[in-house]
Amino acid sequence: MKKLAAILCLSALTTGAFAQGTVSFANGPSTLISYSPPSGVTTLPVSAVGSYIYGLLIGSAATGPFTFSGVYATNTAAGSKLGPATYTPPVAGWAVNASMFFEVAGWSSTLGYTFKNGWLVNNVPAAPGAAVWGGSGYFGLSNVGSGTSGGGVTPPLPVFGGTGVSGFDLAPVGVPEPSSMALAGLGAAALLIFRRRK
Amino acid sequence: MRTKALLSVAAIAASAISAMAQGNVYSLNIVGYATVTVNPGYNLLANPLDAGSTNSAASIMPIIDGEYVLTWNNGSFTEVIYDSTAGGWVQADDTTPSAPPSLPPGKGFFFFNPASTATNFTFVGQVVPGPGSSNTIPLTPGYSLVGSALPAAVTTITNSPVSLPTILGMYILQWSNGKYTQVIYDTTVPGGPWVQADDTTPTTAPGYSIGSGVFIFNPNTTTVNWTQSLP
Repeated sequence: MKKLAAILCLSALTTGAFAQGTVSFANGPSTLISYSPPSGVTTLPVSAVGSYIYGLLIGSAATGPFTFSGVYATNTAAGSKLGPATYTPPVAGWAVNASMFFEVAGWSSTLGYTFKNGWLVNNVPAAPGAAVWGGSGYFGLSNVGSGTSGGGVTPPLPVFGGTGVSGFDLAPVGVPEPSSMALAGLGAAALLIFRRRK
Repeated sequence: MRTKALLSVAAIAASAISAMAQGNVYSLNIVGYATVTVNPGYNLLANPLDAGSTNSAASIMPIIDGEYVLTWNNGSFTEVIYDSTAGGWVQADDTTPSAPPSLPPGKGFFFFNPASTATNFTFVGQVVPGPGSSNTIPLTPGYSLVGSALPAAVTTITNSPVSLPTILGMYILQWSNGKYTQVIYDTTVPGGPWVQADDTTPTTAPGYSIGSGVFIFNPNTTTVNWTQSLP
């Protein structure tokens, strides 16, 4: 009996070492995604599926470093919802029943589908207008969550809610901010006025 | 007219006396309630009281917007979500409408609380079994997600009235703080029969608290019945 149990244990351990833990990569009604247009912060509007892309980043410590896991999600019909919830992917680098820290990055599809490591500098989004954005759009990073991945009789870990991440905000990147545009406009107008007075 | 009124009063009085004169009627139903703490994240629960014909998730406990209910069917989880932004109860695709899952006493389930704080669920209903009858919960080969159909707390899960049967090589998995605690029943191990997940370190049989769910692994190729009756 003991021998059999030992064999079973070893086999489970071997399988576990290669098996990848599962997560539910979808948000709920209390963890919707918002964005910051010039007028203020609001929930992401209803938008075509695929307008926003989300990536799961994982790390072994709460302070990071966090690396992109290769797992993507996108918005469903509503812009502020990502999923669907059946999207319970195995996560490379995260073993079954192992505890990890994680966060979610979100961006508008105008920045491209693929997550770029350069978007984060020491786990903080690069400055708006930086060349690394490669275009104009929105980008945001969630708070850090933690939990145990699923697999077998362990349910998939919901990335959002509970001890996971909450809803977060996407902010404009890759384009001059409206306030900068307004300042530039004011400067040009002042120059014109001075030239006319001379 | 006066005579007619007197006759009516007499008839009503006679029928009332007749009803009172009949033998006392006793109910065999025991109705009660049980309060269970539901922490943020996953909780492994089991409905401890029979609330009606369907015992649906919508009727036995409060609804938290964004909750997941996971039941175990043929070796994998079935997930149903309550999402007001998707129209209420939906399947795991967060789109297709679904009936709230049926959660009768004896059936365990995972409940995901999306809130960041704990809350209490109060289950209300009838105790099953009634006096003179018994519960039978099948423990099929492999894993079963179950709970005691009888609302009782015991320090040893095999003690009456919970009365979980022992099966050589069975695993008992209980969920606490986001992970399982596993105990094995193995009479062939020195220091057994109850040992930890390493199948070596002696331990004691786990307890059982009202409203908790538990995974039982039956290593046999045949079903073992978990039978309960009132003491």
